[in-house]
Amino acid sequence: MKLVRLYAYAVSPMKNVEHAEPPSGGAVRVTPDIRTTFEGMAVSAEAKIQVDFAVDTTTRTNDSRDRVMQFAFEASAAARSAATSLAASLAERMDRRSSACLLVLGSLRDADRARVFILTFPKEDALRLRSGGEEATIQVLTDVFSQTSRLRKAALFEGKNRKTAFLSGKVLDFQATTGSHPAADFWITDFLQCVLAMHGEAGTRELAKCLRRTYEAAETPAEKEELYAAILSVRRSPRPRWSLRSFADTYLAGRVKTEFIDAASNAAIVDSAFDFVPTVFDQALNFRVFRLEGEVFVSAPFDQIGNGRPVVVTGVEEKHLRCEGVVVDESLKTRHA
Amino acid sequence: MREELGRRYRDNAPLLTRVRDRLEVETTEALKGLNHIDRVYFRVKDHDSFLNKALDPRNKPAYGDPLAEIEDQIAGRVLVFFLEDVEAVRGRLAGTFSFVESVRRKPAKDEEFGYESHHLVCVIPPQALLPDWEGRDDLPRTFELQVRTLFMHAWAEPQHDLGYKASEELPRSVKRELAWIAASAWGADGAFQRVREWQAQMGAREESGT
Repeated sequence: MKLVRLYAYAVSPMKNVEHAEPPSGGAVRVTPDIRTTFEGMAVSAEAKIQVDFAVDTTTRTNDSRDRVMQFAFEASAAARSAATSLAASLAERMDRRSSACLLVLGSLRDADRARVFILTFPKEDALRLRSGGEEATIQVLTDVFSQTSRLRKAALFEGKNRKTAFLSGKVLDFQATTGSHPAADFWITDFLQCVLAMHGEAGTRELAKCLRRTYEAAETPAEKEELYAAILSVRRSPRPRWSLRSFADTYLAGRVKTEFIDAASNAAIVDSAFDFVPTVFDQALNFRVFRLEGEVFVSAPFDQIGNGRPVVVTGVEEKHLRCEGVVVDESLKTRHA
Repeated sequence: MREELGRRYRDNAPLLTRVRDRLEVETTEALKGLNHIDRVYFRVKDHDSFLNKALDPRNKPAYGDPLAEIEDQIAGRVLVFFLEDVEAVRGRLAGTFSFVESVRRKPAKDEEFGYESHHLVCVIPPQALLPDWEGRDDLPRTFELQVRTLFMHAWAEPQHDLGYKASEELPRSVKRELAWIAASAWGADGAFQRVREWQAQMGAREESGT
């Protein structure tokens, strides 16, 4: 695909500003250097969070999507209008917690297929050293934007010009999984008007599924304990948003981590963020079942296992279980349920 | 053109079938714990139905890329017992799928009786996709999901071949029979829902001891 259109704007926070100034900028001439730089960014492997546009389900419209497609497929004047509109929209959603940024919008084309990238680079102060002879000078640069800051963001959308395309995309947003919800929601929800493609309940079920499969494939008691500890930890964690990879990076190591990642339904979702839903997790993965010598089975919810709880398990290689509690019901069965 | 399009659709069928299976599992899991679900099932549109829809001269505008644009190549259906369950199912599915369309299909006029169903068009979620699906322009990005009561379904399925896609105009008497059946189904749904509400009231009274 070839870069055919590039626009850039300096965007400052304008949320709740009475007389908001429009972002300054416009079309950028696509030189060979610019083409190389931004065509590379347009296929960035860093944008991994999958998102869907939050479409009005009666009209099938979404302002951001409509502007993105207008930018990709319409003639120059309409594309410029769409780019300016997106820049203004970004400014309106940035409050004083956000730093000013460079917004870059680009469109690549290959026949009737287009790829649109939207990038932001936060503004930073930088120093430039000029030395010559016996003297050196330092310049303070205030119109520099960082390419490597963890506050930078990206969005990629691709497809043909039809109503069934450009419904999904990929996003780079370091705050989406690590920050508070307002910070996390700014880029994906507020500006792009998207939702996470892997919805919370589905993502949480996927997490539980991967844990269950990995547990079944565990080769040693130590591996099982590692998984069990991870299950308890994520249930207690205050972090609201995960991906399978961030979970694995946080709680797992070695062979278990590899098995867990390989257990995902497909490789594409491993980095896809989702909101953790505790009730769904508990429904999907809430019981630990022990088979003891003599075909005795003990089945207990996770929160009933541990010191001071009805079920106490000690040891690693050879485990011992002690269970004590009040019997509230019993039944006769032909086999263990 | 029909032959070429048919060949390409046949080539895609195994992929559509695999995604169909994944969507069925995803939908079934999403609805776990909800009462009054009679059935969840998915299908891949059959070859002739796809071609008839893709090449129908009444399409306005005509499909440019039917392999990508026809959204019910994979379609699912959730059958529930009561009217109140339709919204409960829709709400639960919203936690798993991104909706592109959500439409209550019903007769245009209040005094008419006919097809009723809740239609959803959803984005195929990433966990159900196959590798490289997104890079192809000849596969759909969406699928259709219908939510109906058993009575809505009992009317819709038989009349599908009789009236909806009949190639000839039906006699007036036959149309009136179909309308009567639709009205009866509508009435039965309403009656069942009133019984449900009475049951809920009785349950609430027992709990409060009145």
